[in-house]
Amino acid sequence: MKSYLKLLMVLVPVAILAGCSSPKVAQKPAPIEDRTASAATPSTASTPATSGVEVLAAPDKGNFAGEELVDPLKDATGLLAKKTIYFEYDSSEIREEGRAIVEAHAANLIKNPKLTVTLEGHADERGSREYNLALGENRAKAVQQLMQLKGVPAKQMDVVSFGEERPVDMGHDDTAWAKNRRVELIFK
Amino acid sequence: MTIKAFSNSRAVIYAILVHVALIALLGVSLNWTPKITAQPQIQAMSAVVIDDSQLIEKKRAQQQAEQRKQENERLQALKEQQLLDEPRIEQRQEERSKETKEKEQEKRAVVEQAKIKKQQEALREAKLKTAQEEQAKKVKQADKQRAELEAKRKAEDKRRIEAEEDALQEQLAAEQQRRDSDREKLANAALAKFSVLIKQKVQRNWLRPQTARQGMSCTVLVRLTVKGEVLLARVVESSGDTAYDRSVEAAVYKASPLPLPQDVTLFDYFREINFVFKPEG
Amino acid sequence: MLRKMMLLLLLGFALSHPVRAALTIEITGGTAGAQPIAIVPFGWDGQDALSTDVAEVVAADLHRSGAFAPLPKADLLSQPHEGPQINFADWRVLGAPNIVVGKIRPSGNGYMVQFQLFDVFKGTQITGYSIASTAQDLRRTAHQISDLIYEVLTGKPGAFATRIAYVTEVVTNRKSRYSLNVADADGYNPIPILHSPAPLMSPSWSPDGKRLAYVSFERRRSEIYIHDLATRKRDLVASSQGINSAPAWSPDGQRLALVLSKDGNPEIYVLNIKNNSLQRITNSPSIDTEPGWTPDGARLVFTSDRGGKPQIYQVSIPANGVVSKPQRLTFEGDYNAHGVVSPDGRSLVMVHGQGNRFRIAVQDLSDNDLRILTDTRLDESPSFAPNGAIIVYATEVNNRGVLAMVSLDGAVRQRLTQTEGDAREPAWGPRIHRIKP
Repeated sequence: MKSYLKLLMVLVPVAILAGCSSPKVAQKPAPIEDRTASAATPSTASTPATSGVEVLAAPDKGNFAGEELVDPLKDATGLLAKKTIYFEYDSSEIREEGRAIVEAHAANLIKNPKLTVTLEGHADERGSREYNLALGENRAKAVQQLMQLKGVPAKQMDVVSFGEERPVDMGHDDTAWAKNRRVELIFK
Repeated sequence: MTIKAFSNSRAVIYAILVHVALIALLGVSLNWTPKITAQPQIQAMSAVVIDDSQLIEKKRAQQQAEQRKQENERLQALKEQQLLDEPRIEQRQEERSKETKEKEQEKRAVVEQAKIKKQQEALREAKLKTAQEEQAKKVKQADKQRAELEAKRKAEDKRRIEAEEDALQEQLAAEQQRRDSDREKLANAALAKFSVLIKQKVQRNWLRPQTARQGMSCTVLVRLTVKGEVLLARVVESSGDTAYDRSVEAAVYKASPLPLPQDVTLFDYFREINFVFKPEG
Repeated sequence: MLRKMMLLLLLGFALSHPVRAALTIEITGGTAGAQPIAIVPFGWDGQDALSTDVAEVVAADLHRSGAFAPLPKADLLSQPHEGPQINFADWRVLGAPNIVVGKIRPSGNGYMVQFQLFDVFKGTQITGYSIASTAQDLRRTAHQISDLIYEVLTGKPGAFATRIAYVTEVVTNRKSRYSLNVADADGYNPIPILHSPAPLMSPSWSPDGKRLAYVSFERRRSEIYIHDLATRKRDLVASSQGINSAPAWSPDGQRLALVLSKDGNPEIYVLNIKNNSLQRITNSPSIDTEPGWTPDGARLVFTSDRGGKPQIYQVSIPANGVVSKPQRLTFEGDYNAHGVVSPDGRSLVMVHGQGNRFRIAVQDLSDNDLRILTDTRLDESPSFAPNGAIIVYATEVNNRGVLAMVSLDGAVRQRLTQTEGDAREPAWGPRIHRIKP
């Protein structure tokens, strides 16, 4: 897969420059980890080293080769092709269009219990970064809560926030900001 | 031909001596021609830092002492001069003395009057005495009474005269006081005016640091020369903030020379000034 | 009667010659401003050109503090290099109360740098030092000289021989590379500590200046590392479910305040670095983030939107005992975040938002007077210099992220030099090396 290659491409420089062979610290007391409390999450399945990060928002993964003729997630005509929900400034409230998208994906997830999704929350650049990190998480959690309400089991979902760190639009105006206030559904 | 010259052998000896001397001189002078031996050594200039700061300090101290002495003398001279030809005050003094003279004349007249009165009294007494001797027994008591009366009257007169004299003295003293307060008024007026001028100039030159806060206060004692130049400035009450204290000293030095009144007799009021610096919100 | 006369005469005499007390004049007002200072280019004995113009660095440092206004070189009447060469009467005319002169000569493999600071009005030396310096350290020596001058003239320590940590992002072919860097406080000599293809955030210095805590997204989520600058080794200290961010080192270096959302939503915690024990500070359904310590280590300020929009609150954290109820500190503007308390505990600097405009503001904690220090639009991440006189922050100029500095009174503003990419998230390091007088 492409992602693994990209993975390697960035693994090496980081390892060299960070001056440590691996980010694991065996001798010190274990860091605050609370992973055991929740169910196994998809992101931990990835290797400890940095994964190849795709800056662009449109994910094009599909691990279902052979299972279905047409991947509903890739079907451009369907609602499931939409994988981004947008938000108002300083708000984590899901609006009308967003609801429809979430509900469609919720139904799909219920139908495919092996399918897992990472809900990536983002914010626009205004204000402080840390607050925006929390805001991004609020948005992703709002989507998660709605999905749970619709019956999606918790173990199929994971929430992560990038705050304002990963904008899709580097501009500094309302248009750019509106595009960056989003939750992305990342499927593996 | 007989050469008579050699009879004088002394002359000959002298001549020879002179010649010898000359030759000797020549010989010696020949030896004075310098011999060029080796190339003269060029001494490398070693840069020595001459610390003449002490000398400068001494000189400056001397100059300051001289200055001070000169100023004091000048002050003294001016003061004397001032006292000699202050026309207005003299004129008033003349007026006052004229008034005094008049008052004194009055007083003398009063005293004269009293004298005359006394004489008249004496005459009267003599007359009364002869009348009394005729009626000695009859008017013994009356005499006594009259004598007592006389005594009383004398005492009263005496008191009256004394009172009038006292009043005069008080008047004179009051005049003197008024003269002094006029002088003081002049001084106060100058004080007020120049305090404002000095305050304005120092204020103009004060650069307040960013750390200045409401409530801060720094007092600087400043000594001036007659020309208003700052002789010394010393913080006597710190604000607690170094930058603030320094800015205050700098303000005073930059405002030097401070404006002072022309009247040098008023210099005493300005010789030493306490500046209290407070920022305003 | 005679006695009366005498008394009156004496009284009259006394009135005409009063006792002269020193006149007192009160001075108020003045103009707020930086104190002029003459900094004369240093003399140089050697052959090759020096890598650093020491006087220039000192002048730039003192100017940046906002407290001093170095005279332009063109105004300097002469170029003395030491005391005896100074004609004070001449310099008094310029109105600068102080003058700095110096000279450098080669010494071994490096230099001997001598400087003297004089009082122009009194003509006396205030301070002077001879400092041995290597060729590479010459710039740092200049900063140390700035610190010495600043300290003796203001009574407060300087912050010129210090460093800042910050994050840069360079985009090539739509791919971002993030770096954590450490540079001199004036932006020179940047040294990268870490490169990553994933975002880095919120660097925080340990009080001994030896370590940096920061947030890294290299494993596709926010995690907190502590990085030793000397050994270049780092430890992962927080990797719980959800957010791990906003590390803030305590003044005693024993604890790290941070934000974790593992218990449902972002809350403030204090982590004991030695034994890994965790103390929960906030407990509310709102966003609580960006903890910052007061200099006594007894309180935390933090950002919370429990009132609807982000504002800054304060909470006491006794060593053993119940955490106090958070008390709100900011009331002006509709958005206040990233609160940082000044080293003297008297001021709070923050990101202050009104509408779409975000600027750096400082609030006096005694009277709550708020002053806006910048006039740009997208300011963030303020951090105090260790002497509390200057603030470094991130802003946007011509669509580029840059670092800038502003003095506490808002009078002096400077931008830092930068080679490429965007710079952000500055954190001002502590004072470490000091020349003992």
